[in-house]
Amino acid sequence: MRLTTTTSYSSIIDSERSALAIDVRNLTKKYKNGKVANDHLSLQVDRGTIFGLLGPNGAGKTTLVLQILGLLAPTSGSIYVEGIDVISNPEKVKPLAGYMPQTRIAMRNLEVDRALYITGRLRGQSHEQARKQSEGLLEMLDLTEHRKQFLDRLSGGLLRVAAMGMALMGDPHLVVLDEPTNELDPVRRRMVWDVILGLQDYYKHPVTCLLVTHNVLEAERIVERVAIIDKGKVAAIGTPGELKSQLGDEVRLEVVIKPDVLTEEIALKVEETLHDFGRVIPFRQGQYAVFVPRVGVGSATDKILGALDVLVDDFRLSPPSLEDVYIHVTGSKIELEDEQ
Amino acid sequence: MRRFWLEVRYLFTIQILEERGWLAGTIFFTTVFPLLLVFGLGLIGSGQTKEGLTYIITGSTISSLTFVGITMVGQSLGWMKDRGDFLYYASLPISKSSLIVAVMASKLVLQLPGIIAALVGGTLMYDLHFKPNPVVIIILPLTALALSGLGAAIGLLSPSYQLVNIFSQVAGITVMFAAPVMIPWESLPRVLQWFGWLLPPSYAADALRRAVLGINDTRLMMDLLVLTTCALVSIIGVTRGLRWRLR
Repeated sequence: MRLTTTTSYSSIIDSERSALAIDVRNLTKKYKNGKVANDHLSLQVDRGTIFGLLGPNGAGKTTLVLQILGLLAPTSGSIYVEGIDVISNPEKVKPLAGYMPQTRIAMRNLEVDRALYITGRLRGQSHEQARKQSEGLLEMLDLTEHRKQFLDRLSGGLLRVAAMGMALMGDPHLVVLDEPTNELDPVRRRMVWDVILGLQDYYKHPVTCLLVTHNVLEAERIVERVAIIDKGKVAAIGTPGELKSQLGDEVRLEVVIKPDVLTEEIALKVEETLHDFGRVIPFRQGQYAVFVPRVGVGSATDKILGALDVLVDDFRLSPPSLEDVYIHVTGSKIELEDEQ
Repeated sequence: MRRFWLEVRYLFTIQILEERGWLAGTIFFTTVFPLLLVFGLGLIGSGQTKEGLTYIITGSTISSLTFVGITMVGQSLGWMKDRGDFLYYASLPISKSSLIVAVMASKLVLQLPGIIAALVGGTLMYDLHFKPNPVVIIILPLTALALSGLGAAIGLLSPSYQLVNIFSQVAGITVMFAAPVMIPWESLPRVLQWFGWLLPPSYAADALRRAVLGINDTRLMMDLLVLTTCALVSIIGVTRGLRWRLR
């Protein structure tokens, strides 16, 4: 696929920063109502990587993404995308970026295939390029049987997939996907992750994917680097492995209490017992994660199971997940969608 | 320029296809209202004279075009922004002016049956012998375009859709009634006579009156020149003055 824009970029590309796909430094966004959405935030994203942006609702992720795309003016700081100064040249970034917003999508009264085709044409593709790519994407995203349906009549999940197709039209070098797996069934969710993993092969050039998601457990399998955003700042950044190592040499022991024996009194007793063995995070009613030192995990497990005895319905041992890092870093419980 | 018209073509297609579900209803109302206006106003006051009836028929057309340029363009963009569609357009490598022109053109097409009905129906209703000049075809989009910059500014800069509704209607009514659109220039209060010179509908109404009466003079050319300048200022103003910013 060929970049369809005819704009000359050589004069506006900062050669020092062009090695990075995204270079954000000291970015602050303060709204008129005084709310600080991004607070001296800095992050760098290497070209051709899948970069995850995690964080609780209201952490400033979408605000950050909108500024990276040149759709929102920052209060201070700098943003470069593929070496282009986004603040001075917001229009120059648009031919390079495909964006799938989290909120409503446009063209709701148009058929799926027509929405894809028109998006391609508006992104500068010829009739043949847009026709060919929209046909290919309908097949790749398993939308062929829904191609003549109006976007407005699609289920929430299919609408997300169609919106993703619109973001992939053209020849983007940066693809920004905001919650691409919301409302998707497990089969389509897997398909979406596969498509993201295959972006480099699809476009036949390095494509950077900025992935905003709550679906931490699944995203963990595909992201190469992650930034956890909290209260407008980068609370942690690194590869999933680097972030998980922040939790130290710990193992996650998940304990599930039988629902029929669970009372407030029992819950208190369970938490007290578990606290003797390590840091405890209750993540659902009657479900607890205890982070116990790797050394001696066997005897700790025996003791816990012995102490709780008949109350335990199930338990599992696993290395810490990105979700655990998230909870550790933000100190809050992630709004888990359906990661289980 | 080729790219601009390609963008307009596809953005226009989107706007028209988005209206598909309620196209019949929209055309019905946009046709009936100008006809009723011509019929109702033609029965009272100045409507009894040929000059008065000409003012009413052409004035009704200009009021429809003012409605397209300010109210409909403002409300369309405000609505896009309010429900999140605007994010899609703002993220595309398209120009602001092509979106404004496409929105304006789609609304003009929907309003066109009403405009034609008022011109033809009014002529037949009151047995007026108009000799329309083909320049009428140019006056219609130029008028709507000359006002669409104001409509776009209201739609994109107002903090909420409710305010877009209020501002676009107030601006539409102000611009229309402060100009000699329905009422002859001489009959307007002195303040409005001066103020009217600043408003594109004054020139549009004058041009349309001359065009339907078959008058092809320097004044008509001047009116067209002013309208063209206003249309260019409107589009350039939108392109340079408004940023594709969401907040």
